[in-house]
Amino acid sequence: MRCEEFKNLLIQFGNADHAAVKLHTANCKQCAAHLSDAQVLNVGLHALADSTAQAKAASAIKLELLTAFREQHKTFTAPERFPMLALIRGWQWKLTATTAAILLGLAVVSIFWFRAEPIRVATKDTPVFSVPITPATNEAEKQPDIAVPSHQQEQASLKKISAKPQRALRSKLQFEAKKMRQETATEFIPLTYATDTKALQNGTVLRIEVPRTTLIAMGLPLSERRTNEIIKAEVMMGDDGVAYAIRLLQ
Amino acid sequence: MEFNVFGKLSDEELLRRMKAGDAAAFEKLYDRRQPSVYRFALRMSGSSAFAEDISQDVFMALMRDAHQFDESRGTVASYLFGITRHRVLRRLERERTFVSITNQDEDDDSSVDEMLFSTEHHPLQVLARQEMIAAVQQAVLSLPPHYREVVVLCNLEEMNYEQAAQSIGCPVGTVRSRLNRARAMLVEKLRTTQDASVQIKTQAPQRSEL
Repeated sequence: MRCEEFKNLLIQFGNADHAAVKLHTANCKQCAAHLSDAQVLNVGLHALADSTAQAKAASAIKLELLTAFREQHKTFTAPERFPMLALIRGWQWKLTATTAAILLGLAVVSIFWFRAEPIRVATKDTPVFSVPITPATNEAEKQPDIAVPSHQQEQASLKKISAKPQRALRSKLQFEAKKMRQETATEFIPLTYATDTKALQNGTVLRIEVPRTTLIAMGLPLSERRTNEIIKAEVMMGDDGVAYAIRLLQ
Repeated sequence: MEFNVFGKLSDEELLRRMKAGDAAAFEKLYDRRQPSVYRFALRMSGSSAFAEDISQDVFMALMRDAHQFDESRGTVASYLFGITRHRVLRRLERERTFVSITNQDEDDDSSVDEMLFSTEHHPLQVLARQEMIAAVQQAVLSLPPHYREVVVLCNLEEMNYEQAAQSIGCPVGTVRSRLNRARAMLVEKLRTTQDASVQIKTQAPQRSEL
């Protein structure tokens, strides 16, 4: 046997049990030393394997994982009241959540847009309600106020018609503004990914309503009781569309 | 009783139940597969803290991405090994300077004490064995990760070349050549360590004589 063949056999069998290996090492000192090294290494590796054979992670990790698992399924599994949600799993859940977030964002933006919009007063350009105009007769001389030009008459009637919704809207806005003045707010709490809120130069504050569970999931220090409760909050949005901070309203 | 029922179920069935929100199935799957995940990470890093982090990370990933598992592509065990290996290599790459066996040493101390005070083992034998294990472990940890993993799989996990090749996702010839090269490096490192310790031992009496 040649030394090269010996090395191949040693790689193949990993020890000196093979008869040909024994025979060769009896005559070749170099290969005998090589075999001795390999045997020492095998013994060391076996000892190392034995010393870590029973190793396993601490039981605290198992508990943490089980808690996380239950938490995840508490969030993802559908309550009995909404059996349709049970069909939503995995990526579908993410898609649904993203869609819901976009819709919520749109709803919030539209609410603020409508609130910011000044109350419109009917003008020439606004659609005109059809008000019957009676032609001027003799009675018109007795009642000169009826003899206004037809356009002005239309304007007057339009103002009368649109006054009611305007008043309702104005009172609603006044009520909302009064409610906002009565509210107390916490300091802005920076969100985890935005470390420096002072760096924010321009931005918009958006008022939102979110479930308590969402805020807890975001890491805000809220009590875990009444998890279904909706909480009012204001989010500081940067020009880049990223939410930098949040404050809670009461 | 319910847990005993789970014992008979396959990993795939447990995973299916786990995806449906069954915590007991997840617990059983964890108990069954966590030791191999932990051991691989421990043997690759030499640190129990590292291995625990990886174990936690792997099972969190399983929870999150269980739907990505495709039965037609392999078993749950190989899927978990794939995640573990990827995370271990990535983290070793990130923490290139990370070589710590402190926690492992702490763990080992108790077993060493037990063995030292037991009547079955001679204290000197126990100490010599511990010294050898530490030297081999250091040598294994000093290998580049791709060589280290074949040693861990073939020599410590006792997989054959085919199983190791399948786990790593490379040809059997590559595993064989890497293992051959890795063993040569280990022999060289152990020889260096041995020479150094012999040198220290021979120098110590000379100094005391002076």
